[in-house]
Amino acid sequence: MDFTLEDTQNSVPGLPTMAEHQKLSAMPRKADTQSVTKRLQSELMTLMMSPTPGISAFPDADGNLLHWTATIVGPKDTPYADLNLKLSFEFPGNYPYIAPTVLFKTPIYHPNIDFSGRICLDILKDKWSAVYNVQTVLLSLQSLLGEPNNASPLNNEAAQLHQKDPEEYQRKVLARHQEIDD
Amino acid sequence: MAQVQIPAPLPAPGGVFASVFPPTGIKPPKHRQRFTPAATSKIPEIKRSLNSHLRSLLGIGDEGFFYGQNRHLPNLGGPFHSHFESSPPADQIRQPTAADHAAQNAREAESPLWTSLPRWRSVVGSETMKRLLAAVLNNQMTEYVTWSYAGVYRPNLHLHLDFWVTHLFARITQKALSSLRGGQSTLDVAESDLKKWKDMATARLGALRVDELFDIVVDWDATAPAIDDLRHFTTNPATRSYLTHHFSNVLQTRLLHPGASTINILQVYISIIRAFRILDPKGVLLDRVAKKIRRYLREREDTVKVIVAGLLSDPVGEDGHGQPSSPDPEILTDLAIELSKHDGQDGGGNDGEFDWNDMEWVPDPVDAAPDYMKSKNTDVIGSLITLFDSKDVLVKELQNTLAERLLKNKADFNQEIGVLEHLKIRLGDAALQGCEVMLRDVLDSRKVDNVIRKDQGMQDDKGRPRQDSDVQLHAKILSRLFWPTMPEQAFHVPKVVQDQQETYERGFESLKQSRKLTWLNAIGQVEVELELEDRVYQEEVLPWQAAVIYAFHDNSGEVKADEPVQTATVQKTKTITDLTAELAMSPTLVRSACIFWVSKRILIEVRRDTFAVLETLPDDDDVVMMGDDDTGRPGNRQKQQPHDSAAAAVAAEVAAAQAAKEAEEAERKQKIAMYHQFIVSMLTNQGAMPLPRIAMMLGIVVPGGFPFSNEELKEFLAGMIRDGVLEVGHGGAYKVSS
Repeated sequence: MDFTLEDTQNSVPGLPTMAEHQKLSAMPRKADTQSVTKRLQSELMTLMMSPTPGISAFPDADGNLLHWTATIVGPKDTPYADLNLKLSFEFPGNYPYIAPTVLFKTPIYHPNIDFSGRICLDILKDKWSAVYNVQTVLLSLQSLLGEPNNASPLNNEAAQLHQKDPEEYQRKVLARHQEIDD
Repeated sequence: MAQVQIPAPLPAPGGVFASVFPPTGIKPPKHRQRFTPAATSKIPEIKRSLNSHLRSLLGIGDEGFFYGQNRHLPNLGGPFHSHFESSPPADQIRQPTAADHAAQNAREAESPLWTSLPRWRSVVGSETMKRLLAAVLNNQMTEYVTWSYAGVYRPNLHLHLDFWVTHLFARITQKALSSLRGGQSTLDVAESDLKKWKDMATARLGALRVDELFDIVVDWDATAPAIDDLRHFTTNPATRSYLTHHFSNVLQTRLLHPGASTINILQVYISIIRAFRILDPKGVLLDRVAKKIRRYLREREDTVKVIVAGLLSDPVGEDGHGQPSSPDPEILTDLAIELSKHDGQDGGGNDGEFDWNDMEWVPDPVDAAPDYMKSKNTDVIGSLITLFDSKDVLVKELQNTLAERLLKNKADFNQEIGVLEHLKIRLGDAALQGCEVMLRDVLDSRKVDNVIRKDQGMQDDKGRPRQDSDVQLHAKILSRLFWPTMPEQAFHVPKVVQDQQETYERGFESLKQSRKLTWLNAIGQVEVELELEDRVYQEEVLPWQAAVIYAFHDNSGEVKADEPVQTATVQKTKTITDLTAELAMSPTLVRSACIFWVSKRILIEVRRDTFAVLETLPDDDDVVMMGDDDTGRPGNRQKQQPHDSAAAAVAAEVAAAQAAKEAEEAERKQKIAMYHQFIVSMLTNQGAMPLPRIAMMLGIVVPGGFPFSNEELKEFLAGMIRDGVLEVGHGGAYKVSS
């Protein structure tokens, strides 16, 4: 525990001290997580009630619903066909006003995804809006697999190959792919 | 000499229950005193007679004992009686006058004790005598408190006790001690000794009251003065913790077990809140005691139901007396009364901790639990509303109950409106928005209903129906999003009703564009009037019951069969199967409706699952019914007692319950599809999992909790394995088939 030393005696009355500040701000923050949980719960419910083939997502076992694991099955007629791709979702405390952090856990070879799994997708960055949800994000990612945006690549080589040498690209995709099982 | 060791008076914990004598008055022994066997054998006898003499001197066990002169003096009050119940009200007991003292002294002088004391001292020595005296007096204090005060709850009891300690206990003790010392010391009682004895007496009384506390709380209101006694007791942390500890244990054994009904527990909890609010306005004691109850109540499934039913209950019988005349034991009407009493209190708002101008501020009591929160919600309604972590549980139940009540055919909903307004103060407008909409729906429906019926020519300007013979249809229009899901037991309504519904629908759609009506046929009430050959039957029944009886309706415009009941074979009959097909209703529901009508003596069951209209009532002495427990042969008639209809009514209820259960089962089955999806999705994303972990995760993520046990889940998973969806990996972990 860290006790912050503070001169409570000499501080201006009326201005809340640090300790009081924590007390005062505790309430709204708590209410906030509750609304995030509620939102995520309802998203989970929609996912369960109307499952979309090829994508699925589920909260992790830590029980607070803020971390999810998702699975995308590579769409047919793309180099990723039938590959199981796992992703991690991390939701901020003020979701859905801020985008979740989404990473590919499965190693993937793709023009818009770097080697540590980070994704370059506008709706996860500046184009995020509160109307998006886990399902729409996963659907966007699924279509991104088939149609990479070669104009702003994270993986330059992949972008080049994707345009010029599909066979080599396919080979690299399969070489990099590795089923993770946990 | 022996160490003066007072045998522990009671199961007495803590310093409050220590010896009668101050430790300074007793000197530690220099060496152990040995008595001759003769002297030792005398000790028990001395003790016995000491006990009996002191008892009569202190007025214990003698209901006629009084102090001084036994008469009432004007302006001064009545005499003191050692038995509290025989005493005048405690604040009218007179302080003894000189005459009283004289009379009392004269009476005491007659006691043989004063002569015996010096004699006994010469036998066993003064230290031993002191020790014996202490032991006896110590027991007698407890005895007195128990004898005089147990079960007697009257105000100002401490005045009575003070009187007894000051004028009897202290004085007699001092007298006895001085007589032991050979009369050389004074008869004046030291102030500090007196104070100590008073404290001890209060402690004994406190211990007694703590023992009685559960009964005090159960009989709350009549026993209010007892709490006052406890207030004198709970003045230091030791006694306070004794009280809470003891009381919690009693609660555990007497209340918080499966044998007590939820309503009982809540009732006691309410009494506890009321009692402890007086005992300790700060709420620390309540906080400590209530924790267990609250935790236990949270585990009970029907707690919310009982609370909500109580809140919405009608504090009826307020016929000028303000008190409910005959409270229904099934409903916690207390809550409704409490709710209407409450008027926003202090508005809440100001949190004492940050109010710099609050000159009355005091820190939290020292014995407050670390997580003690000085909540403003220590009143009854507040405590019950905050029983659950989130308001949602309560609000949801409130919506359900409200839905049920609003759909009843009532003249007005003033009471519901009132309750909602009161609850809004507590829960906030936002939380109750749904309920608000429901209420408005029902109130608006009435207007809309009128307009539509007029527009569609279903009634004239004065609200009278156009044609007499027609079915009259009134509708309540509910906003689907704001109402809880209704149990849907679909069936075909009779053609006449359906026609009306279509007309009504047109009317509604022209009134409110881009809205559509969906009929919930299973909900509502139907007023039926059945014209039979020898009687007319009129009652309000449920729609599906009406639909079934309508099926027996023939084209001549009334429910009727051509032949009297004795010739059952030619009568118009219908089997359950017929009805099921005709009405598209579930067989259980049809059966339940038929049994309902049998209980009303409109239908009879002529063969198993075959019903006919009972057109004329047979003589009561000779009711002919075909029990469905016989083999179904038409000839096998049974004579039955007239009040068979009561038994049939019970049967109808059972059948209805079964129908409801069936509907529930259907819903459960529907949910299974959802769980299937949950499990597949979970195992896809989180990898293989053993059964307990699956159960745990489902418990977390499924809204409203996962209703199956581990065994049921195992069964369910086994089913999924058979379907090839899952497989069992090593270590018994389930995973998705690849």
